[in-house]
Amino acid sequence: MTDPTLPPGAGGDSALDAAHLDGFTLEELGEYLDSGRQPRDERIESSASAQHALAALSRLRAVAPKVMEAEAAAAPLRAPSWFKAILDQIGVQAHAGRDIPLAHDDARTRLAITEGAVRGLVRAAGDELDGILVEKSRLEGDVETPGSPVTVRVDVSLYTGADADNLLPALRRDIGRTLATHTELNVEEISIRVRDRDKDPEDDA
Amino acid sequence: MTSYSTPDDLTYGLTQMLRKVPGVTAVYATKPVLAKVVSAVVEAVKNEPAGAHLVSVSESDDGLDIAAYIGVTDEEPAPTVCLRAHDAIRAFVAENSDLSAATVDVRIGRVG
Repeated sequence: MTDPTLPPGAGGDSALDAAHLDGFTLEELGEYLDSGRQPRDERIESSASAQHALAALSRLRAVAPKVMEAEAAAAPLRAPSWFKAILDQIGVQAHAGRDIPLAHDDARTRLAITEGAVRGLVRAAGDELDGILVEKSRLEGDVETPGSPVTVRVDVSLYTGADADNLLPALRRDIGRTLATHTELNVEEISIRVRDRDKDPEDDA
Repeated sequence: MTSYSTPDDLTYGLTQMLRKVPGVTAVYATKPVLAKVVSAVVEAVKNEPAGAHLVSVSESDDGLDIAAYIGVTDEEPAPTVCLRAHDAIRAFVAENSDLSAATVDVRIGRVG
């Protein structure tokens, strides 16, 4: 079955996906969503990376028409490229990545939250705001060393008519709050970039 | 006291226990679960797929090395739930195994 959210040529089943998603492809995960996650697949349900990708796919399906409307108005020939760039990022963003330590005074104990979980928090902060889609985020800095300064860089798209003047500060505030609550990162800066519709997204994927 | 005579029994017990820890929403595989194993094997005794054995347990000179990979709620701070899961693992091992827990590694893979 072909994922109905995928425009022609958008791919979604690359080897890169499988490398980041515990062996799954986005196409497989899209089909699992289509089936209502039934019958339950323990391989998928026991994979944190796959769960992140499913959440991102669900969000993308929900908001894609709104973003693509804005995209088509600005650059009608580039909408498929935008979609492909977003899909390509889902696998990368869902990857567990580095372990970010949580403090504990027993040397025999190691507590951590993964970079993928933190990217999921950033994405979820965007999901709570109507008018914005978090395309990707990255943590710059030595997140594996407690106390090291970290910069959070976030790329977003806006829906048609979205109020950027209010949405972007709200997103920055909400990301700061959720990272302060759920991590021990020393976040020095949260940098949010609204993707430039005049630029082909494949140029900076 | 429940007897967990093998590491496999213990990992099963730890997985089931962790799922009941407040704030823990999921127990993930510390390594990808092999498709052919899950699709082909259902344990007759426990009537659970192999994927239910998600917590990793291995023996070392100092005791047991345990690794867990979990999802947690976003309704309380993730470090709080992570510590709670860790404490529950140590308590469970102390109660149910002849060997003590040496290292305990708990990673959060998803929040919310």
